[in-house]
Formats: sequence, structure tokens, C-alpha cells
Amino acid sequence: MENLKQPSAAGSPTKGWPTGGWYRYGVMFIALEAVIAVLQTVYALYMVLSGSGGFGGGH
Amino acid sequence: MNNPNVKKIGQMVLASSGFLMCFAMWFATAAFSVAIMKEYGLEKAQLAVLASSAMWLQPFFRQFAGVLADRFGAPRTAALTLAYTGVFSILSGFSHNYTELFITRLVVATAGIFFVIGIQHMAQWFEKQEIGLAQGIYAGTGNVGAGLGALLLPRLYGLDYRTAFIHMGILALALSAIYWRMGVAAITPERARKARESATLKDTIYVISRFTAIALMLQYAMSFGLEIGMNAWLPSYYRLAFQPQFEALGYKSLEALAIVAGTLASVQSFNASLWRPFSGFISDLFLRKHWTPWPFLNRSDPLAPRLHWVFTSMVAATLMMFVFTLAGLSGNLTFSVGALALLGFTTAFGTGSNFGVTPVLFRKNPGIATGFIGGVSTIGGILYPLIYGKVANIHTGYALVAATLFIPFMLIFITAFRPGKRIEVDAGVGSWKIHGLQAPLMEPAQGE
Repeated sequence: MENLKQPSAAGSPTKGWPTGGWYRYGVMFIALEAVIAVLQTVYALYMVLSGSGGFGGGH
Repeated sequence: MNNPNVKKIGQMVLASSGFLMCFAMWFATAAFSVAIMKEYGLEKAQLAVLASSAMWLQPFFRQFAGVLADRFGAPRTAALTLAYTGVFSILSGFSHNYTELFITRLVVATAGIFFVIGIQHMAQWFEKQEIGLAQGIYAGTGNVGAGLGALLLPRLYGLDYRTAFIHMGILALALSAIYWRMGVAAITPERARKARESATLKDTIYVISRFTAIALMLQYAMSFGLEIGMNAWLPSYYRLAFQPQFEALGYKSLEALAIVAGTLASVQSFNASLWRPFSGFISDLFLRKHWTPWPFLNRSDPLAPRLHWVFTSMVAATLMMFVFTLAGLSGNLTFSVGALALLGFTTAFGTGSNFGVTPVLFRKNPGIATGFIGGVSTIGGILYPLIYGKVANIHTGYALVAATLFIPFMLIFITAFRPGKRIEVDAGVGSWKIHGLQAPLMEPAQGE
């Protein structure tokens, strides 16, 4: 039980915030990936709304 | 090239590319299930075995990969994984019968172990205040390989799965050579040395018997386990549950059905993968803002805000499983696809939030912890489709899984991360002294 009273492995995570210069590009990358996810979902909805005659319907 | 940010991004691009390739190979068999079924005259049950076989070797091999990554470094382990799966992918393209195809694809499916290697690689390069986004970008980009495969492979290759497998194998071999040449194990030689020295059997047994590791593993089973189970199950679900709706829409031929079912299935995969970095970012944000909304979880540990985001993701995914069942029962295909997108979105919360915590909590043994959490949790990917397929009403399996498995997993998580001054990371079966270790996981300077 004495182990449980020791400091966490996490240490102090907020020390050194904000993070390195790469981080802002990472956030931009999130936006790009989110746009792709939304577009793919919209396309799937289009396929079920337009039927096989629509673009990419497999015919 | 001496700029540390450039080096970090370089290693991230390398790991993400390798993982994308491996994930695409892992689920490429499912993308061609219709063609394989037709060529070999497979029954539905045989097809189910082929689909689930992609997961069989993950629980054990991932644990093994984690130890290898800690011991020999991620680049060597990654290059080796890409090389042997690439060779077997090429061999599967030349298979003469179903047995040869099944065995070679079983080996190719072990490409899924790459996840653990890349997580270890990222943990060795990124600091704890930025690790949420870093792991999210790596894993999210890689995971989308499954969705890309489901979406693109039938369109690019039609029913010609052999050519697709050969091309993917050649690409994997090329990436293997690049990883070997350009990969660096850790940001400092000291960090790589510490991981190497801690990759022992004693450490492995100790880490996997900690309650926190088990709770995080169960949380990952209800996020990543759910994601891969859905990858394997959803094409069959849509074909079986919405056949009349597809026919009414004009999707009647085998090829058209494969394309529409693959496209709908990839909604889950795309959302679960591509929102994962966003979840990592939110994890970083929880930490920065010190958000701790759940009173029954630890609130005072420096890592606590990230845990609160993990738990939030568990609540969201559980709720969405019930909504997805409701959507199916309504018989409305549009509602079902919309609910599936949101289910994928909340699944990404879970996967992205977990690896904002795991590599930091187990800084001393990132490969071992990741191997256990990322490996054993894949049993969910085998178990859930079996439940979905067993229930009398095909739509109700999701609600059943949420009620009987996800809610108990949440209770275990609450118990493991209960309120207290610090997260009790060393609580588990036997103390570190009994396990013969030199120091507990809580030791502040570990892995630094």
C-alpha cells in the first residue's frame, strides 16, 4: 500500500505548455481529416438517397 | 534536418504511412469477400470464419510486438512486420486453392500488430503534454486504411483480388525498406535504452496485472474493439438487414451490392479513424483546462483531466449503440447511416482519448502496456460480431452489447480510477516488490 502514496507516473503534464511548433500543423491536419470524414459520410448518404443511378453507384 | 520538430514530424509520417499500409492489408480480405465467396463457392459460415480470422492472432501477437518494439526499437520491428506481411500478401495473390489463400491471408492479417509498434514509436518521440494529438494523428491516419480499402479496392480492382494483394505486398516491401533506413527508435538514446532495459517478462506480467491497465484495456475493447468488429460485420449487416431497400434503390448485382455495402460500412471506419486526432486534441485540451466533470473519478492527479475525457467517450459510445439499434429498427436506411456516422465519431473519442493516457501512465513500458491494451482489446472485435449475428433481431445486438458489456466496463473503469490524491497505477495483483522489480511504475522519473 505504501506504493500508492507515491507521486503518479504522470508527473506534471502541464509543465512546458504550450507544445512545440509542430502542434499547430497537427491541429490543421485534424481539420483536413474531419473534412474527409464528413465528405465520405455525405457521399454514403448520397448513395442511399440517389440509388444506383447516382455517381459511383456501381453501374 | 536538425530541427527537432522536423524530426518528430518525419517519424510521425513514417509511422502513420506504415500503419496505413498495414491496416489496409489487414482488412483487404473483407473488401473482396464477395469475390472470394463467388470463386470458391463459400457458404455464409465459411465467409464468417474468413472475416473473423483477421482478428484471431491479434491478442497474442500484439503483446509480443510491444515487447519487441521496446527491446529492439520500433523501426526494426516495423520494417520486419511490413516485410513479412508484404511477402505473404504477394504469395496470397498466387494461391492455388482456398486453403492456401486462407493461410496466407491469416499471416497477412497479423499486419494489425503494427498499431502497437507505432504507438511505442510515437511515445518515444513526443512529450506528455502533446502526446494526445501525436498519437491521434498517427493512429487515426493509419486506421483509415481499413476504410480506404473498403471504399477503393472494389472500385480499382473489381473482383480481381489477386492483383490487388500483389500490388499491396509490393508497396509494403517498399515501405519496409524506407522504415529501416529512416526510422529512429527514440528522441534520445537514453529513452530508447530505458525502454530496452524494461522489456522483460517480469515487467510484462507486472504491467498486465495492474487494475488501471485492465480498465484501459476494457475501455479500448469498447472503442477500438468495436471499430474493428464493425469493420468485419457491417457489410454483412447492411446486406442482410436492408436488402429490400437496396433492391428498391437499384443495387441488385453482386458487384453493386459489394460497392454499396462497402461504402456504407466505411462510414463507420472513416469517422472512427479520422476523428481520432480530434479526440487526442480534446484530450490535450481537457488537460490544459483542467476539466474534470465526473465526481466519481479521480480529480487531483495531474493526468486526471485526460481520464475524464476517456470516460466521457465511454458514455457517448454506449448511448450511440442504443441509437444505432433504434435506427435499424426504424428500417430507415438514411437514419441508420447517420447514426452510424455518429457512432464512428464517438468511437473515435474512445480510441483517441485512451492513448492520451496509456503511454504517459506507463511511460516506463510503453510497448508492453500498448501491446496489452491494444492487443487483448481486439477480442472485442471477435466477440461483438458473434453477438450481433446470434440475436433473433439483427438490429438489437448493438443495444445488447452496450447493456451487457459496455456498462460493466464503465463500472470497472470508475473503480480503477476512483477519487484519491493520485491515480493508483501500481494497484493490482501483487506489489512491484513481489514481482521482483527494481521500482514501481509511479516512480516520477521513469522513462524521462
